[in-house]
Amino acid sequence: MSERPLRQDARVDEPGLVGARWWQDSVIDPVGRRHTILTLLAVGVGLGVAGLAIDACEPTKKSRLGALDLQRKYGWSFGAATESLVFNGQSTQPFDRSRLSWMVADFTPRVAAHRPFYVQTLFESPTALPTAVSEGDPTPIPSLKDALQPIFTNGMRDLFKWVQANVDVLAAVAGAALVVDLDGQDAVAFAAAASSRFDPVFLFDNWPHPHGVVPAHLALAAAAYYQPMFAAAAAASQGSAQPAPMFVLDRQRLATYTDSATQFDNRWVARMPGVQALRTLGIKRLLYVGPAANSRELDDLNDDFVTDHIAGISISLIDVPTLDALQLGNQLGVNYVPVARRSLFSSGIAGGGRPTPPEFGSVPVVLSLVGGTLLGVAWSRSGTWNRGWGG
Amino acid sequence: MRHSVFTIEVCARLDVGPQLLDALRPIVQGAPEHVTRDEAWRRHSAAADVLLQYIEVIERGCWEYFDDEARAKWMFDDWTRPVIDRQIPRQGPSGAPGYRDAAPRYLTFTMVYLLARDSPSDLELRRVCQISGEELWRKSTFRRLLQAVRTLSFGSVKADSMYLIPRDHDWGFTAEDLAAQTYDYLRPLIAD
Repeated sequence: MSERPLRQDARVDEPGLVGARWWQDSVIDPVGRRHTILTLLAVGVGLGVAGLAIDACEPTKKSRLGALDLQRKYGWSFGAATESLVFNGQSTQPFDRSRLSWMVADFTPRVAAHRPFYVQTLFESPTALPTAVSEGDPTPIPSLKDALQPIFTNGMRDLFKWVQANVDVLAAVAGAALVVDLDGQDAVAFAAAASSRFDPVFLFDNWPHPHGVVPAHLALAAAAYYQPMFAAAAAASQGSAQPAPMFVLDRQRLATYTDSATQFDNRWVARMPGVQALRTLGIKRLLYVGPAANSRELDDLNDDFVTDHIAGISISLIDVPTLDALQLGNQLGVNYVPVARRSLFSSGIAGGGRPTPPEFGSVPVVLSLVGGTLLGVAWSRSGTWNRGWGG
Repeated sequence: MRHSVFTIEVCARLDVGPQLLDALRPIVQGAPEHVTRDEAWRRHSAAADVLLQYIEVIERGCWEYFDDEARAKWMFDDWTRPVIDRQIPRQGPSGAPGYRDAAPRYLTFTMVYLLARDSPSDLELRRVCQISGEELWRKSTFRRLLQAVRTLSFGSVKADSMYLIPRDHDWGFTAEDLAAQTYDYLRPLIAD
């Protein structure tokens, strides 16, 4: 340590202003990072009080804006530009990062009639570049493509094997479409294994975020792992018989959102084809794939399923990977009768329209009172944004 | 290392207490390019002492404590922008208040600290900053915060800044200057 560790890096001495700034390099981290993380909860209450004080200082107002719109404009990690994603189960297989630029194309349904229902939002995220920089983010946000790592978890491996062993049984059901509703990475693994017999129609409608309620980065990371397989399946299917659709959903899409101060609401609702569209595609039966015994449909599918059932489209529940082939055959013979239920995402009325909570999929932001400029995400606290005279 | 930021800014009547400007100016101007931690502490402590001494002529103020890593750094840069970018609020002198000009003049003085988060000084500031809503704008609160500045250890301060506007008596803020929306963050302080 030098004898005079604080060094001046800026100085002004004018009639209208006199001041300076100093830095030092030798400050010692008082606690390790791990310990700091563990103590965050312990000090949370006190920080909340201080945050109240700080808010009172601002010439700003708070509002809410759509999470996906903000990410498209300001970058995928808007409001958390210096934070990173955690990829549990990272794959050690060779990985061609440049291939991520082709995700939207590689995951496009092979059957032209299925393409109108494809939601490519998630697959757009790796290469999307922001068009603006938020004042609250210290640096421009780089492409997600550089942060993404493929994953291959034990759960994905087990599920992949199960599907390989049973996909022919599923494909043998006449007029059936699959609705795969598993946690993102598992849903992708299921789709990869079943892609030889079904046409995957992905409905993932969000982007990853470091504070995301929905861990969309895991679905995307699994997609990166299986991307060559999907591309190969698409190439091999040229000119072959048209497979039935397999609608793929992330079961975490309605994950509990409790704290707007620390969570980024990247939730979304399923956009399944309506009854008429299903009929046009020749679908007479939906095989709903859930993660556990008797997994009924998530709330956002309830109105759709009730309507489909009334219109004569039968539904079966498939639990994976708990079933063996015999059990699977038995379960395919059982018709599920969805009952209208009232929830945040279902009307509770047969034929009713699906509701969504008023602030669903939005993020609290701080806007300048002057001109309404967006200053940043309103996390646990905010400062005196738009303070000062220099612009 | 993670960081927090603490800032306090006060706005005082320059025409009523012109000695305040004269007392603060040498503290800012006199600091050398390289200083020891003890010298830094003496400088900031001296500034806090002066403000405490002249608390009666302080009319408005703002403070904040912020401990999110990205925000802490960004806010530190933002608060120190006047020094870094030489952002001088007035483009010309406002004139010294005189016998025939009773219009008030104002100065602002700002101290900004980027601290090692969870260091003893950070924990102390965090504790002091736990202030209820009705106490936010009391002079007693600002007195308490200024006293906390005097207890800072510069072993925990990664970076700091102080600046005084204006340097010269005839460049003070006018009431019209401070009526601009950009100064809304400087709230009137409630006397104890």
